[in-house]
Amino acid sequence: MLGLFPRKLGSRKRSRLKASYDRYQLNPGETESLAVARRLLRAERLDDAFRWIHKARTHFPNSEKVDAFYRKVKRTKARAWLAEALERAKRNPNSANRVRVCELLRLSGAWKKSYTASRKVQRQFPDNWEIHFGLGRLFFEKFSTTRRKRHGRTTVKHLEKSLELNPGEYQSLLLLATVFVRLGEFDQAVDVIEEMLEISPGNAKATALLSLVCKLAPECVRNVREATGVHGSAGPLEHVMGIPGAVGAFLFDDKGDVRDTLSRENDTFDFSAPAETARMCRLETDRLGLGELVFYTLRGEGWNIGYRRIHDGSVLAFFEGDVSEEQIAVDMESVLGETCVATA
Amino acid sequence: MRQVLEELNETPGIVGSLVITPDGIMVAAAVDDDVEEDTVAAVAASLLVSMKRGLTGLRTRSDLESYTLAGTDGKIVFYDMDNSYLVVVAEAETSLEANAGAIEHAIHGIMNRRVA
Repeated sequence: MLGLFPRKLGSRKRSRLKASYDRYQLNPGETESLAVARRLLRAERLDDAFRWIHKARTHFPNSEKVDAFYRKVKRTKARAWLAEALERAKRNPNSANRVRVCELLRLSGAWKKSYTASRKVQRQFPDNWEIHFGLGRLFFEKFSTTRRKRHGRTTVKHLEKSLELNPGEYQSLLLLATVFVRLGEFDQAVDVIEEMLEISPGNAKATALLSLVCKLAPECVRNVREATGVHGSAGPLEHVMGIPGAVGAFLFDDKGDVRDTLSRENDTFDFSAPAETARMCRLETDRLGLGELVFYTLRGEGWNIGYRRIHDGSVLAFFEGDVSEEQIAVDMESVLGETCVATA
Repeated sequence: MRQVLEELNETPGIVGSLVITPDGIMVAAAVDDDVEEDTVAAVAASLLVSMKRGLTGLRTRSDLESYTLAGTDGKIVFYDMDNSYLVVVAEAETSLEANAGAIEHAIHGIMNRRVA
């Protein structure tokens, strides 16, 4: 594992971390994964701990322990930055520095302090969209915990104000669409998703939200699905097709046979040869001593092909545009989420 | 050429590098003893043929420039250098994008050396 055990860590911390990691290698379970994350946090390797637990969340999506530890690492990271941000805001109390303090207070778990600070900033800078967005996020957090409609409505109020001041802002739109879905206001959610897709055609998160609305209220999404130009069946391929630049995707079963295909603009691809390549890569990865195949990417000028294992098969997708291979790998892992095989 | 590869191997996360021809013949290698150079070269060549065949049905507008094969225990990347390939073996979690400068420098060094 690259750079996980640097010498500067000290022999004791290093050996304990290594022992946890070795146990994880022998048995990559939830407890072992959490033990590595705890050791990294104790060794004050915040970024590594965050990366590790972030990955653990995709491997153990239903684990409350992993989720709780993820929040703890996030809080610890925020606290580490807070002192610095406070100092900067003291020296230069402009809106950006003060909004940053409010955000870090929220992330470090100090909800009330963040709310009080945000209100103060809002009074001073009433036309700052970021502060309304920050308040929206605060109430979204509260709404996620309490599930009370009034908290959801307050979230909507702040996000709509944020969008009034800064129209088309992606994060505000995404949060607003999510709140509408959670409030069961699907028509409004579809309107916001439609706006997101107009700004960023094929956006992965917008498409994923659309899939969710599709399941919950299929009558609301028919028109948007037609407008996005995504044709074919739902499932992992629809998520992959939401990645910017995706033009076609294949789903293989665990034997390597094509189970489903999806393409933009009703294009059809000849998938027999890529299927054969995928089969070959799976065999050769082990022969090369690289273990079990997780993903492969091919790149040329203006195009990429990404292939990723999922738990009961694999997905291969073709992308157009100048995106790096690693970005494709990360995007595919991100949208396929819990369906991906363990990679650590 | 070996010196260029050894310099590249000093990049964090990169554990070995080779130069091979498209038909699987090894030109130069700087790898650990546990990496079987000839196997890598042979497998790379057969994969390359298969991948190029696979591209025909996908209407790609340009030739293959690089391909990455990532497994649970490591990754291997092949970079096209016109009539040969630079093969980089790295640890599983290494970001080769972060090391793009070192790799480009190595490719430049190898290609210039061959011309000279």
